[in-house]
Amino acid sequence: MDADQLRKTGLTELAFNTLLARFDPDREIAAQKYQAVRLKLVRFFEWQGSTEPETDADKTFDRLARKLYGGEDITDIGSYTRGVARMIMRERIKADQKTQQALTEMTHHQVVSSGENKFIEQQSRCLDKCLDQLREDQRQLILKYYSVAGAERIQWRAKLAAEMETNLNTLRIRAYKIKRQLRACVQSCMQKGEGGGN
Amino acid sequence: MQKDQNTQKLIIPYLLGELSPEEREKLEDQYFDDASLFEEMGMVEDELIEAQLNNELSGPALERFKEQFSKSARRENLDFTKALLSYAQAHSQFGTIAASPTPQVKQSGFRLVFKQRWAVATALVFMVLGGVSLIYLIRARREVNQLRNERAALEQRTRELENKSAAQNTRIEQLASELDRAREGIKQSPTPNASPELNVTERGPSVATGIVIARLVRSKNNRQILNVSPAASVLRLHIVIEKGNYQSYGVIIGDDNGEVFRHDQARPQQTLNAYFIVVEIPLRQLLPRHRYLLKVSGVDATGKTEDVGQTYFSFVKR
Repeated sequence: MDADQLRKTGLTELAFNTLLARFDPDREIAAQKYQAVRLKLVRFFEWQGSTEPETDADKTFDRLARKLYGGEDITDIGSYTRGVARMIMRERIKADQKTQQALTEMTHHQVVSSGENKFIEQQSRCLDKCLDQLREDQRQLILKYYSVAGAERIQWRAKLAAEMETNLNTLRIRAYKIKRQLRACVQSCMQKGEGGGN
Repeated sequence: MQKDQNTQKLIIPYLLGELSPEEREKLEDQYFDDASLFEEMGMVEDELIEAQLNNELSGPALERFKEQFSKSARRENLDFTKALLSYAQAHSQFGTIAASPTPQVKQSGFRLVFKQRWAVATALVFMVLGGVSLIYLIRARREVNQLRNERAALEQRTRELENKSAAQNTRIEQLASELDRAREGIKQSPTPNASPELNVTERGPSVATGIVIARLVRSKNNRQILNVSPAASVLRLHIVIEKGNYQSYGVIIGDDNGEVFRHDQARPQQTLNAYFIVVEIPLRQLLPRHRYLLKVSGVDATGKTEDVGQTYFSFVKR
């Protein structure tokens, strides 16, 4: 995590180092474990219906780090993390009124309507750019995997797997990992305002 | 094995928000600790999204999906998947993939268990979705037969849905009322200068935004009137449509003398309960107080078009 990311989470460097150390004494391994847990937290908040899963994941680490830095004795860090995450989710649910959220969704569509076509165009350009960044075999695989719609797609993917001399499940896992990588790339591209066109 | 089967049964209900709090917590504890289970959940979510984009969800499952994926974070995955599918299907007609070098996978006990777990998961997904084709069985023939049966069921459901268009029209009118109420809230926002007139909000000195509803049922008496600022030079029209499952849409506006405006390749967008498309019409191409017919057609992946709705509309400058 660089200085910018650290500043966004609100963690002090010392608190963050304390948190990392709990993952693993080796800082590189600790960073990998941190990212793996963060991804799970983001998905957890998404699946719970949070409107800001990344923020909530960072908030979870923030509270965890402050507890550790404050000297709290936490024996089962995984269970404690999940408990903090659930508490944060309960707080979010209380804060969100259902009708207010619906109104926000409608307002979002209205207020940004002047940019929605641009949003779609930017997403398309970012997708182009991110596909170009894949290895050629990955690019071919993901595009062929999704090239057929409807009920025929199952048969199509079975055929693809046979051509690749592998089984359907392996193909499925490969496609999922490439799609995940692509999605992260497009998200990053959109956030940076890239793909804005000529 | 029994434990794995029970866990797999919970994935889709979890993703659709149907588990009890206790079941949910138990599954969360498991996937936080089990990387392969966590990965499986991500894949099943992607397949659930694909099923919805291919109109394979219906009834309570579809309603739950819409509710869960109306939330912005999950809608992002839905939007991205839709964009990827559109891109892949537009760029199809590849040649055969050469067998890429893949890492050698030892057929250890762990991998065998994982394959077994996966096979059980796909059968359970099929039961839960009541016929939704999310099966990745090793034997292709069984998949094809099951898919044929499912396709027949889908065609029957499609016929039933087409017979319910009057009820859908009522729902769309209710949605229009909701949009009006939402617009009242927007009036409080500092950015838009909301017109008190129906259906139109000014987005700046030269662009006016309007909302119309394109219905499948034709009615010459049904004309929607938009009020537009005299300063506006472009009308950005949000067209609510009844069917949002096409790749792209075409819009034609015309009158008794013929076509005056056309827009192809409009992409569908979605609010909580409705689909809509957006077109921008230079107002110099339209006459005030003149009655125009707006027609919307959906275009599928093969290029085939189908009428999805129409409406009469006119505008006045005020």
